[in-house]
Amino acid sequence: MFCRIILRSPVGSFEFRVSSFELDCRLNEAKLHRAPNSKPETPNSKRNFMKAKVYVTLKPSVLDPQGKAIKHSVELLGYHGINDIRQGKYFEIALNGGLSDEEALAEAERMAREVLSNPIIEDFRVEIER
Amino acid sequence: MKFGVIVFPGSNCDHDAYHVISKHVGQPVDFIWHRDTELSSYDALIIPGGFSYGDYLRAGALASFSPVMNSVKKFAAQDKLVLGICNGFQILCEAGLLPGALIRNRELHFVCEHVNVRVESSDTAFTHELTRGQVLRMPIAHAEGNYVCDDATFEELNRDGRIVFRYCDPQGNVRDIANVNGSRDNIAGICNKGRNVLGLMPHPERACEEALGSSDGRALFHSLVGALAAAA
Repeated sequence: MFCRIILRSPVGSFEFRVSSFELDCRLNEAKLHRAPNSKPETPNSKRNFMKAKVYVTLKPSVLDPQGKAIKHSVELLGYHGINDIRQGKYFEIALNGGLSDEEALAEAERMAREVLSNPIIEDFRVEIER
Repeated sequence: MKFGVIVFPGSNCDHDAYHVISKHVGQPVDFIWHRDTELSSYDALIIPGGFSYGDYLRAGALASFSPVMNSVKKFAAQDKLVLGICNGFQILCEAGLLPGALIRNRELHFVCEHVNVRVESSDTAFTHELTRGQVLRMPIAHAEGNYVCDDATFEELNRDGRIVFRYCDPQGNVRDIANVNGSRDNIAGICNKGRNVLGLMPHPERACEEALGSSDGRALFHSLVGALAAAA
């Protein structure tokens, strides 16, 4: 089966004949290659946007050799007055805006406790941002 | 006696383990993909070394959430034998099958060399053919092998004789200079309460042939097979 596509422009009109299969491929391709700044089909309003920020840090009792090495380099560069540097991890989790603040916090904390941190060596802190 | 070697994306000592079980101890062995959950036909499992999931998040963390690990927990709860080597040890800690955690080496470097470990307990299925105080030479290859645990766990491990291997000098003295990664009290390997789950950072499977620099690791696998034969 073929489709007839007519493009009308100021310099004239053009006519194409494409198979429906080809049309399908082209349309899919167009969807895939949509410019990153173009609007998605169902735009997220600001109200729908929600982010959980999870900070994972080593427990104070756990030695942090990476933090120590970073401190050493920073001091070599001439920075002064540094008592300690501890390296941690930071996660940004985009959440479904339909969740209430309490639900979002509970869900992000559960994720932080069960996956993102190892409670034996790490602590975590969660912030919710709308 | 059927062995299973669990394979995660990024495991790289799975074939070494398979080779040792099939060639050196002459037992049937299967690779088990991490999405499989049926383990009932196996007598012992090996969680091999490597870099499962590229060590993303924490070494062993993502592997510990794999479907197969729920089955491994049930397997271990039935007193069946589980051996975790290197990344396998990290995965067992992350999965909660062994206490404590393995963090970045004290000197930050990836260390790849032969080390000496002293057998601290022969009271496990994995070490009963070894003698306490015996020194084994095996390679290590890791960046996160620095064993940490809280004081209560440490006392419990000590009291129950669950520290199975410690890093030592060639004469068997446990000294700080032999502590390749900064592990608490030179710990190189521990077992669980039931003594059926063992995790260690050195690679016994890579120390089974003289051509590889040492064959000390064979004793571990022979112990394992001996224990299974005795239980059968």
